[in-house]
Order: sequence, then structure tokens, then C-alpha cells
Amino acid sequence: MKKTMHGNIPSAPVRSAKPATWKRTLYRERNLWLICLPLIAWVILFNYVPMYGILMAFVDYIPGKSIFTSDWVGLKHFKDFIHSPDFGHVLRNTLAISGLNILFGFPAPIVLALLLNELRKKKFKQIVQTISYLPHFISWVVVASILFTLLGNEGILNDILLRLGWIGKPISFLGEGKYFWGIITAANIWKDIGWSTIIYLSAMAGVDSEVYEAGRVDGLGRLGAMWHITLPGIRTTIVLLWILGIGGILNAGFEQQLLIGNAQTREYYEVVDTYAYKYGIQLGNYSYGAAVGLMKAVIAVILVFSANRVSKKVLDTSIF
Amino acid sequence: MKKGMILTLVCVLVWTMLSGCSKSNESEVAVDQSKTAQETDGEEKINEYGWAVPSKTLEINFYAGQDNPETVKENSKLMQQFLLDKFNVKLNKIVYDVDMNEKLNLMLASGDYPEVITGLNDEQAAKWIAQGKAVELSQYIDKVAPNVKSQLGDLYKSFLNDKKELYALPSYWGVLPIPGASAHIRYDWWKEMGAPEFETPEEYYQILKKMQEAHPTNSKGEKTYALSGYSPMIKNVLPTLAGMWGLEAGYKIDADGTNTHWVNTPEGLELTKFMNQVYRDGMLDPDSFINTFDDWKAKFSAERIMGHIGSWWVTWNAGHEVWQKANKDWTDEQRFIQVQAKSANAESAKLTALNARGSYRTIITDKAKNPEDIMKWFNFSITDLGTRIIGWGVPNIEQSVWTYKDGKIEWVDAMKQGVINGTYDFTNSDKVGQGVFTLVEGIGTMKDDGKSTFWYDQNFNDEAEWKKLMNENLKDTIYDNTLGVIQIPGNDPLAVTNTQIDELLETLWAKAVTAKTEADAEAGFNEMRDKLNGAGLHDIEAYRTKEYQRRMKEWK
Amino acid sequence: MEQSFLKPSFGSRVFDLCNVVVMLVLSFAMLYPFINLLALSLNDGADAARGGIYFVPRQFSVDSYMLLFQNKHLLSGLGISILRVVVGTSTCVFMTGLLAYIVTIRGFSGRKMIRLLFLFTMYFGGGLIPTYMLMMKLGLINTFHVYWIPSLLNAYYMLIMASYMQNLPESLSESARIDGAGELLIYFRIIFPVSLPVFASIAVFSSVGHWNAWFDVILYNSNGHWDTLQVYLRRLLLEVEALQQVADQQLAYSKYRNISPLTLRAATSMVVTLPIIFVYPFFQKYFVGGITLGAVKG
Repeated sequence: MKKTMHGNIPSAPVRSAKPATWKRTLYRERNLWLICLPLIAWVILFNYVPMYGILMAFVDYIPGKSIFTSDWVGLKHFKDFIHSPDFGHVLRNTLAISGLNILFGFPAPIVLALLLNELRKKKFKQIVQTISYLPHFISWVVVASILFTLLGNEGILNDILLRLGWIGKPISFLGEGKYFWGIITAANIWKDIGWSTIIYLSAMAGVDSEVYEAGRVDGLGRLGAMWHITLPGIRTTIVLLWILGIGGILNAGFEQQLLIGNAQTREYYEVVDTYAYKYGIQLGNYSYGAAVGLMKAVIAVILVFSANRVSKKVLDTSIF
Repeated sequence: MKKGMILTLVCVLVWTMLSGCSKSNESEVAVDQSKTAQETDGEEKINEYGWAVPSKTLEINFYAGQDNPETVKENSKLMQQFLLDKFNVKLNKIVYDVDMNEKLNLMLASGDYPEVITGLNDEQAAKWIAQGKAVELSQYIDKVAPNVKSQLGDLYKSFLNDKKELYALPSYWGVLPIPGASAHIRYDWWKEMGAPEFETPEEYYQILKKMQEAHPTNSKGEKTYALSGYSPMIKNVLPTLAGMWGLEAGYKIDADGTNTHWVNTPEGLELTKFMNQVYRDGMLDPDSFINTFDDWKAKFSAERIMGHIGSWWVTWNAGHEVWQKANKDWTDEQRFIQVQAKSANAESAKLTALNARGSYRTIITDKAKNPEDIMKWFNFSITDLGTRIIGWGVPNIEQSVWTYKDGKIEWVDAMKQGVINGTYDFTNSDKVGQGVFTLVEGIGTMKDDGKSTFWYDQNFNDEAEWKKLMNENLKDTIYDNTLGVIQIPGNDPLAVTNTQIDELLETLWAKAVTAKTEADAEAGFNEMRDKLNGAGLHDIEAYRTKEYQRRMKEWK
Repeated sequence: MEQSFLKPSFGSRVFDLCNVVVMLVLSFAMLYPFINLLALSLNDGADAARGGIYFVPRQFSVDSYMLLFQNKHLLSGLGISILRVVVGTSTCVFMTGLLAYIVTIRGFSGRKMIRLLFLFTMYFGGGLIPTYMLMMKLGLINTFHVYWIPSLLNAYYMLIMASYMQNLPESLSESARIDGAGELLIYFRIIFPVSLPVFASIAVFSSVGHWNAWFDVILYNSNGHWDTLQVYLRRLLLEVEALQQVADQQLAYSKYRNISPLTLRAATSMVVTLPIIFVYPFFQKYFVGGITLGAVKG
């Protein structure tokens, strides 16, 4: 089943095999570069030009003044963040919540996509597919209020547990920190599982149907075909999303934390982004927010590169 | 099918473009009107309201923070037309859906802002002033705006900086001695108990307890609670609760101006024990620290809660104002009344903090071509009559709540009776533009008749049965907290400490209140106190004390 | 479907049954919030404030919808939303697809550089203020173009499309190249048709993204001439948020009095969400079948 991934094999030159100097390469690829030029110009204009804003992390920026003339403070904002009394549990929560998200939230849509792919009735499959992505459209405000009716002290879950006699008095699921990570992970999965299957389903649609025929002739059962044909067929996509997921480990969520979390669970819900928001933007301290953002970005890029390298070595697949 | 879809799409797009154009036509029409208004008024004359009508339309664009632009536009219509016709003044209120802080920063960064900005808090105003974007106003006071000085009176000097310069004017300033917060009790159920008297929080608690025993569930069989609340509790409940123990907005303030945060006072321990007692007796909604306002309102409206501690109006909004519409057999006594409770040791209950300086500031920015003209408008609108126009809306039209003829001010009786009976439709207030163009107007008792106020519905409190009852119940719980409204600037390192303390406070107080035994509650309280002091609460106290003492000296 | 020539085994049938049951349970959990919102939106406003509405309205009323459709700007909002989705998605999908194609051409020397150039933009950005200043300098503020130009290319979509195109056999484009076809022609004629599933899924992502976007609308088009449908919903939600900042009690009372009831918020959510839900079923047909690479491979 092994497919040739790019990058791991010395690339075969497109046309000729003359010793390539960069000028010659450029000339040979002139048509390609002509197409690339506007694309590169676009990304430079819209993404790289505003990046002078990163400097904000190293100065004491006051809106209205130029970033370049603001007082240079070096790494002060980074140090402030690392030395803040909350840093420990903020980091712990961030890693725990996104760790759980990766552990459970990453495979969930793959499993769902595999199951959906196995549904025989086409109409039923389409309907379920469509329904499963509905939660993506529900705002977190609504999710939070549904969770409240479900998990509050008088919520449906407590009601059921009380009637079954499993508990003597209601459990405050939303009011005790130890339940928070589980609740937020479940909510995240519920909300985005269907949405994330879209990519996998499209990748599965790209698996050559001849391969299935061949598999059937070889006597592969349903599960066998899933394991030996479908999964390897979407491997590049899985690896890609995995690597990007690793890079996003410091993005543990924001809105859902603020809406589902509350004072009683603060020690378990505060993550890097909510913290940077409260202590940066809300206090008008853009530089602090920028410093936290920059720190996250650097870590993310390091993680993505390492994950990419590992995946290149181990799985023979890479994203760049 | 594909063709059909494409056709529909094309239609939609064309039509969208057209509607886009028709919108711009609308604004052109508005411009035309202002032109005609400009032409007809040839010379400056004094109108019936005592305003010198300028020969050229005075247009003031002002940004007023985060609000719904559609409703603001809708509510401005009549008032804008009225001011244009009678005063030749065109006020354009600009609001955006974007968070005000964010928008202000973008305005500062991009240099794209109108000539007047209102609704700023002290800190935001300071930022604009510090960057030289605000026009110095004291230079105009004597020349064109003496009313600003005379109306503000003693407050005026509190807006001057060290150099005696004036950059920001207040809006919604002044003292209206009506209650803002209190304890609440379900009136019909309390009467059913024989309307027992109570004075202290302890007695209030006893009565609520009996009430809960009498009504353990609501009509649908859901469990009831004596008290509930919504987060953040330290903002929504605590200041009023602490007021029962004589603290001012959560601080104990000595005669010399020393500020002590409530967690460092014995009263703080007492009130925590009080709430814990309520909690342990199953009388406090266990979701109190989790509820949002909507969650709380749902419980409240479902008649599951018998009392409340906090803002006066929330039990109206969530109580009888809902029942009135939803229950056919609602009676007038099914409501909450506002009552006071005062701890035996406290000198007086301090439930309502008044801030004479108001919470909002208005600045004229450097974009103003002619600040003097704008000051002229302020000079008129800050007068008692100007405040009436801005506060009560357009007079003399069909929907008006008041009339102004030959210098005589009268209420429209039907509207007045509506407010008194609680049948007044407040969307009418929006239509006549009540409060839309507030820039520098005060909300205190007006000087000319000694009783009128900017808030239309607060003018008949003596005649409206329930408001009157509330005012009588709470009259000695109102205090002046002008000196105590202290904001720590965002760029001060203490602001970070302050945010940390606010967050810790809510978390730890929740823990102490929901402790299983009184000893645990006390231990929780002590833990909270130590942690907060460790996080720098004493620095906040010192900052407040210093500022408070400065104000005592300079403002009095 | 393809298995039809073989009689399904017992195990296979049990699997199917379990699968269907799991899907039904899942569907219920996913559908519930919509049922709840629908019930709320069809309830009387004052009554709904008392809570306790789950599956069916307690006091039926269509007032919220009546009120909503009386707003004549709502329809123009719908038109602008559709315009934005159509223009934004088609441009984004084709341009990003082109980019993805280019970075998968084997042997192209700029491939890695361009990938990295875009990858970095996923993590580093200038923040709100510099971006706003840029839009202002480019004259995009208060124009429709701010909806599609800044989102023309997307690094994340590029990676997904590239990961799909990478799996295509090289012979596909190679033979065309030997025949002297230009890269743009290869992209449109060969790569695009065989990559339909991934184009369809990115089209779903992009159109949903464009439909749901609201922050750029209120930020860059704050004069209201280009309000999208989503803004009407956000406005109601933000209105509530803004209230929490009100310091004066009397002012707070007068504002809370006018706040749109829960039912109107629910009705608006329904009206704003329903149209976009159908975008997935619309593109779904490109997800299944139709692709037999073997034919071209040979």
C-alpha cells in the first residue's frame, strides 16, 4: 500500500537532468514562478506586512502611539507572564485540556467517518452526516445554557442519578473543578466531531475504488477493508491533521472556557488564551497579550517542525 | 435546476446591489433636509426654549460606545428631527457593535474618530487626554458655557487637573437620592405570614426560612430557595450584603479616609458566616455562583426564589414584569418589595452608593473644527430645561410624555398615569428619544423645581405606590460614595494585582460560603483573607486610601 | 453498495445494525439544541423567561418570527451574506487550490519555500491594530471587498488540499505536461476534476466560515451598509454582553427593559443558521464515488 510521499525521495527533476544552477532552474520554472508571483505578493501584503505588530510584545505599546516609538522593554512581558502566580495552573490546564482534546477529540472524527462510510443506505448516510455537523453552528452561549440544564445541581443528570438512588444528594458537576476537564472535552468533541469528519470523508472519497475491488477479491471483510484500505488511504490527511494538532497544543479554547467555566472552577478552566485576554486586552495592555501570543506561536512552530520531522522518519510522511 | 439556481442567485445579487444603493439614497435625503433647514434660518434668533438658533446648522457627531446601531438609529429619529427643526442643531449618535474599549483603541491608532466622544470611563478619558486628542475646555467656560460651571457647582473643580485645566465633562452626573440596591422579599407571601417586622439580616433570614417552609415548592413542584444570585456574586450581591454591615461598596472607610477591604474586617467574616448559614440550611440556590443573569431570571420568574440581595430593579424585571404578561390571574401584590436589613452593630445600612460625578465622561476631540459651538450646545443642554428635553424626549407631539408651551412644563397625564400604574409602554420612551442624545446632562434633582429628574419614570415616585414604598423603606440606606469610586489605571502594575484579587475573591468566597460546617466556613474565610493579602490586597488598600484622602482634601 | 454481489454475512449484518443504532443516538444528541431553539423560538416571550422549555413550546406564538421579518434590513442582510459566500468561497477555493497544486508539483524548486511562507502565517500575525491599519490604508474599510480579498488564500486549506493532491498519481499531470499543456490548464482540466471531493469539503469550510463571520463585519464595515445576516444575530448577543458594563442602576434598568427576549434570540439563531446548513448536503454529492483513478493511471 505504500505510496510515494514527496520529500523523502530525492525529487526527480521535472524535465531535464542538466546540472541545475539556480538561474537555470528559475528560467526553466519561469511559468510556475509567474503564477506564484501574485500569490506570494498577496501573502506578503496581507500577512507579513502587519507582522511589525509582533514588536508590540517587546515594547510598552499605547494605542495611538507608534509601535516604533514606544518604550522598549525587552522581555519584560514574557517574564511577567512566566512569573505570574497563576502561570503554573494556567499551563497545567492548557496542557491537560488540549491533551485530552488530542487524545479523544482527534480519533473521534476518524472513527465517525469510518462508521459513516460503512452505512449502506445512501440517504440515511447523508442525513446523519448533515445532522452530525449541526452542533458546529450552535454558539457556545447556547451550549453553555444546555450544559447548565443538563449538569446543574437540578439538572437532568442529577435527577436521573437521584432517581436511580446512586447518589444521595445532587453533585455540582459545573461547580467542582475536578469535573471540568471531562465536561469541556466532551463538549468539544460533541461540537466538532461531525465538522471534522468532512475532511476525512472527502479523503476517503479519493481512495481508488479499484483497490476495494482488489481487497474484496483477496477476501477482506468489512473491518479488514477499513483497516487495510480506508485508513491507509487517508493516512496523509490524518498525519497532516495530527501534526497541526500537536502545534495547536497551546490552543485549549477560549470562548467555551469563559462560558462553561465559573468562579468555582477557575483553577481548572483558566488557560493561556483566557489568561492573556483578562490580563492583556481587558486591561488595555496589548503588549502583554502580544507577548503571550508570540510565545505560543514560537512553541507551536517548534512543535510542528519536530512533529513533522518525527513523522518523516517514522511514518515516511511529512507536510512540508 | 442549475439554471434556476443561477437565475435566483443573480436576482438576489442584483437586488442586494440595488438595496445597497437605496440605502445611500436615504442618507442623501437626510443631507438635503439639513440643507433646507440651513437656508431657511437666515439670522440668529432666540427660540422658545431660550436657545440662540445658529444661522448655520450646528452638526455634532459623537461616538457613544457599544450599542445596537439599528435601534439607536430608530430611536434617534424623532428627537433628531425635533432638534434640527427647533434648534437647528443636528446631533448624530454613532454606536458600534464592537466592544467600546477595542473601538477606542482602534480610533486612537487609526486617527479616525468623530469630534465628540461620550460614555468614556475615567481611565479611557485619561488615555485620550494624555495623547493630546482632547480639547481643553475651561477656556470656553466663561465665554460661552457658564452654565456648565454653575450647574456642576462644587463638582466642577473635581474635573480640573493640577493645572486647573478641564478636558472631560461628566454625563449622568449628580445626586438623585433614590435607592439603587436593597434586600428584597416576596410581598404576597410575606403578607400571608402576617407581615412580620424585621431589622437585622438575621431576622430577614428567619423570615425567609419560614417562608420557604410554607412554600417548599412552586406550583410545578420544583424546589424553592430563599435566596439565589448570579455570577459574579462579589459584584452583584456582595456590595449590598456588606452594606448591611455598614461597609461602603465593600470597603470599610474610617473617618480619616483609610480604606479597608471587607475580607480584612470582622464584618466580612460575619457576612460570610451569614451566607454560609443560608447555604447550609438549604436556603441558598446551590447554583448561585454559576447562574448567569438569564439562568437566575428563569428560576426567579418560575417563582422559585423568595428573596434577593442586590439591585432594586432586577426583582421587577424578573418578577412581576414577567408575571404581569405571562399570568392571566396575576394580582398587583404578587411582586417583590425592596426592604432594608441592618446588622445590629452597624451604625447604618449602606446599600445604595451614589456617585455624584457620574460614571461617564464626554470629551471634545481635536477633530472638532469649532469646539466653541459644541460648548454652546453643552451650555444649553446642561440647563434644567435642556436636561428635560434630552431626558424626557420630544415634547408637544402625539407620543410625548410632556408638553412645553409658553414656558410652562406639564406632564401628559395619560402617560404619567401609565407609569404610576405600571402600564406604561416603555417602547414609547424610545420613540420620543428619551436619553439618546445624553452628552453632559445630569440625573440629579433639578435645581429649578427641586424635584424633577432626567429619568422620566422616576418623576412620580411619590404617587406610584410601590416606588413610594421602596423609597420609604430605604431612605436612610443611601450614601454618597463619590470619593470612593476609584479606578486603578490599566498601565499601573496594581491593575494586574486588582484583577487577580477580584478573581481569587470570587473563587475563594464561593468556597467559604458553600462550606459544609461553620468551622469550615471560617477556615475558608481565613484562607481567603491570607491568600488575598498575599496577592497584594494591602497594596490596593493603600492605593485607595491615598487617593481617597487626596480627594477628601481637594474636592471638599 | 459495491458489496451487493456478495450476500452480506451475519457478522456484517450485526455490524450494520449496531452502526445504525449508534448513528441514531448520535443524531439525537446532535439535533437536540436545534429542537430546543425551535421550541424556544415558537414560544411566547414573557413565558419563556420562566425557563423549562425543552422539546415543545409551552405557549405557542409566532410573534418572534413576525417581529424578525418585519425588519426590512434583514432581507438585504441575507442577500449580502449570500453574495459574500458565493464570491468569497469561489475565489478562495480556486486560488487556494491553485496554490496547493503548485506546492505539490514534484521537482518545483520553490515548493518548500512557498509552503513554509504560508505555514508561518498560521502561527504569526500582527494582531488587530496593525491589520486594521493595513485594511484602512488599502481602502478596504466600508467596502464589500474586505470580505473576500483578505481571505483569498488560506494556509490551512492549502495543506489539506495539498495532502489530497499528493496522493494523486504523478502520471496524471506528467502526461499532460509532456503534451505541452501549461500549468494553469493542467490545474483546471486535470487536477480540479479528480480532486472534487477535497474542493467540495474546502468549499463547505469556506462557505460556512464566510457565512458565520461577524467580527470582520462589525470591525471593518461598521457603517452598516454591508451588514450580513450573521451580524443581526451577533447584535442581539453582544447587546446582552454590553449591558454588563453599565455602571448606573437606572440606566441598567432602562436598558434591560428593552432587551430582546430569549425567544427572539432563538428565532434569530434559527433564521440565521438554517440557510447555511444546506450547504453541506449541496456539496455532499461530490464526496462519494465518481472517482476511478485506475483509468488514468494505466
